[in-house]
Amino acid sequence: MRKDLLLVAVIVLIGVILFKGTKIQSVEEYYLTHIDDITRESETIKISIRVDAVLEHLDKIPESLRSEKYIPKDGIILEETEYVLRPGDTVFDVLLRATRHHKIPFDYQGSEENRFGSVYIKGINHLYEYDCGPLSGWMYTVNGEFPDEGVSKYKLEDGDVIAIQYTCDLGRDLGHPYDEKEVNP
Amino acid sequence: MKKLSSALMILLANLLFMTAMTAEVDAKEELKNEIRDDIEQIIDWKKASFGLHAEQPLLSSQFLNHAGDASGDWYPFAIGRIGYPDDYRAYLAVVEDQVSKRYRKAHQLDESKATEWHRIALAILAVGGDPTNVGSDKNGEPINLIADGTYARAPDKPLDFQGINGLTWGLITLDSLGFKIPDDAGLTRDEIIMDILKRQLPDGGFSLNGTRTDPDITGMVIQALAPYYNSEKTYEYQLSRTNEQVAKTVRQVIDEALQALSNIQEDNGTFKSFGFENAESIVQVIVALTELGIDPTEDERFIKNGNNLIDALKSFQMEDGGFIHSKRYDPENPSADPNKSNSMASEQALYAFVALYRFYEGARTLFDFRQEMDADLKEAIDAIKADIDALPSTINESHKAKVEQLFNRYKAIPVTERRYVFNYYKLADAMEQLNIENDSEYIADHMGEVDRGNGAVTPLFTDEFHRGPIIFTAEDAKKVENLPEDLTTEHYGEVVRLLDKLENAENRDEYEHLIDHLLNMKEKIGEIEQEIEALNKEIMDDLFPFEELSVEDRDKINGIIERYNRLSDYDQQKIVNYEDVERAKAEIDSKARKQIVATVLGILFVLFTIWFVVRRRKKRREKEMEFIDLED
Repeated sequence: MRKDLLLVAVIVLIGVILFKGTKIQSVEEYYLTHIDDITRESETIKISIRVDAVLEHLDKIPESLRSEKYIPKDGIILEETEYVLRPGDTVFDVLLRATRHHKIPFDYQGSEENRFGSVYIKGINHLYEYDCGPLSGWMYTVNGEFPDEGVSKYKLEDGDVIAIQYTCDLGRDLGHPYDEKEVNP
Repeated sequence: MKKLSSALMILLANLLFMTAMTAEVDAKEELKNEIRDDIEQIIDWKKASFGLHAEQPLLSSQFLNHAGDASGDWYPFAIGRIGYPDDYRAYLAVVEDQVSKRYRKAHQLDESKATEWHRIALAILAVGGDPTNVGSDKNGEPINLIADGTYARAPDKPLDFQGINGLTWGLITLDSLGFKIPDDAGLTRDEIIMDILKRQLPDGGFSLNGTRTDPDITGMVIQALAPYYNSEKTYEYQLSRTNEQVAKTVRQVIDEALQALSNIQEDNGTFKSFGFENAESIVQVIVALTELGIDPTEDERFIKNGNNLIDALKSFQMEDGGFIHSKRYDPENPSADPNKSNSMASEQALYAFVALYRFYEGARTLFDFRQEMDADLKEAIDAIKADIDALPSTINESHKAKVEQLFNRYKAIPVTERRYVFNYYKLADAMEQLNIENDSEYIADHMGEVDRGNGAVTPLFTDEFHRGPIIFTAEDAKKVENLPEDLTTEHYGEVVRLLDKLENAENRDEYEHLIDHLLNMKEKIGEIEQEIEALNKEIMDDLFPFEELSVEDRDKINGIIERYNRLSDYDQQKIVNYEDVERAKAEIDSKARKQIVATVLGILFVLFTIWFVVRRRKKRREKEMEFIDLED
């Protein structure tokens, strides 16, 4: 009778394991597959990619780009998404991760290829600098501010909100606080 | 006694004058020597940053891998313009190969940036190459960077697609050697000039998009317009900012722009761009002045509180010889260290010093790549300049004959060389006062002189500079042998350099056997580059999103990993975010393991259940048997 009980217990146990999932992972595997999981303790940032500024200048961009695929009607290429902030993350690291995870084409110039020593965003989702006129290109804000540094030089902090935005007017259409006084005081 | 003393006075005065003259000459010589030292220091700093000794050429190994990049073209440009002894052939070979490679790909150079073509064309000219005949495109045709970069651009990517920089650098590039624009090109020099003039701001300067003078952009505009400073052509156009209709000569616009620059110069001699004092703005103004033949140490407009532009630029130099961009320290961004020399600031400072050196040497300006003038022409120009300077400040009818004679001498100078009569404006002003008709030819109509042509390294830095026959040395052969069996893309520049040298060497026959070897190596490196590209693409296409990876993707991922492992450490760095592959592998592995464990557990579950049922039945039967036994 006792043996029976034991057997029933074993069967129930196996059943429970089967039912509840059978993930058995090494530490490294666990780390890799859960690195971007957001838990209560995780430090996180938010990132979005938008092209709203282009919507008002659709006539200015090359015809080949005038489609919902490249310029969505709501201007959103990537809606605000939360990501785990890894130690030492720059805006570029997070942008690269986000675009790869969402399979958004992202073309950039490596920090060694230009003279600024920072990665330079050339195109996202097939939309490139100058596609909307001489003053157009990709800019970014962190918590609403326009930093002076390149994307791969700006180190992020917990809770930062990054907006990657396309401008057709060197940032003025994005509310860049770029007034004459600042340019030539 | 009286006579004697006056004779003595004259002698004394003469002596004083002579000493003053020699003092001035000495001061200029000293300044030139200082500039030479600065040039050498910057080059040494740059070499050191690539781990090279001062004796090694800068245009070697690692540096060559940047040929064709914004970071790799301005150094050869600058050092070629002064003839610093270096390996110019090597740079030319690699940049030609790079341009060819990029032309064979769909994207060519960066289509929307005409300045990519301009930068490479100017660097090729500076090292002695021909930018109209570079490597070969996908049809095997030679590439013409001048045409493709200026008048033969794609209709939807015109010269000013990227704004005013496309126009200014396009004009500089066209005028570098006096390239002709074909009649049917749909673009003329006058149109480019007018398109630049239109963008002048109400304060006299130019900017990228602001409404006030930006020193860098204004400096570059002046550099581009400088060859037309002496042209009497009046351009009629509408200002794009204010829609105001104006009629001006290039000279008027440049003078206004110079005044605008003078107005915004700081008390310490520097300029601010986007709100901050920086080295590059000073550089652009220095180069602009030298293009106009203005001595920055003498023009009062650009000396503030005794600080001239050269002093101001030097205040950005570091102990190591390099230059910093800006002196400001931003506590929120310690990575923009104001104490660390910066490549862009240093390369621009380098070419400012080269422009100055050329100016004090009496050589052509930095962006005038034509063969240096012969001595007779130079002498004629110097004589006219001296005579113009000797004209009295107030002109009256009595000077008419003298002025007319000077103007005739000016007109005897070839049109495209007249820009070197830097003080011609004084003559033109005098003519206007005397109502003498000025019928000098419009310069823009004459600027197109050649269809193609080579630049040349200007041997100013050292007399030892000579271009003998190319000899492939035993040392070179050893370098070939020392290249590792397992090549990486790191060796690209070196292989192209050695191959080019051997193919063009006088003693090519001696080492003929190495040519195939080097060609193979070059091909292998090309294959590695393609493999890196293919891997990056496959990773992007196949991995994401991770949640959708399944066990069926296992072979694909393992294949990618295998191929990655075959790459050298150096090339593995070129795989973007390899971590993603490791993660994909982990995802798939745990999914696979989950499946196996689930299967094993499932089987166990079934087995145990069967066993349990069988056991129960058996027991029951035994009990029944017992019962039957009992009944019996």
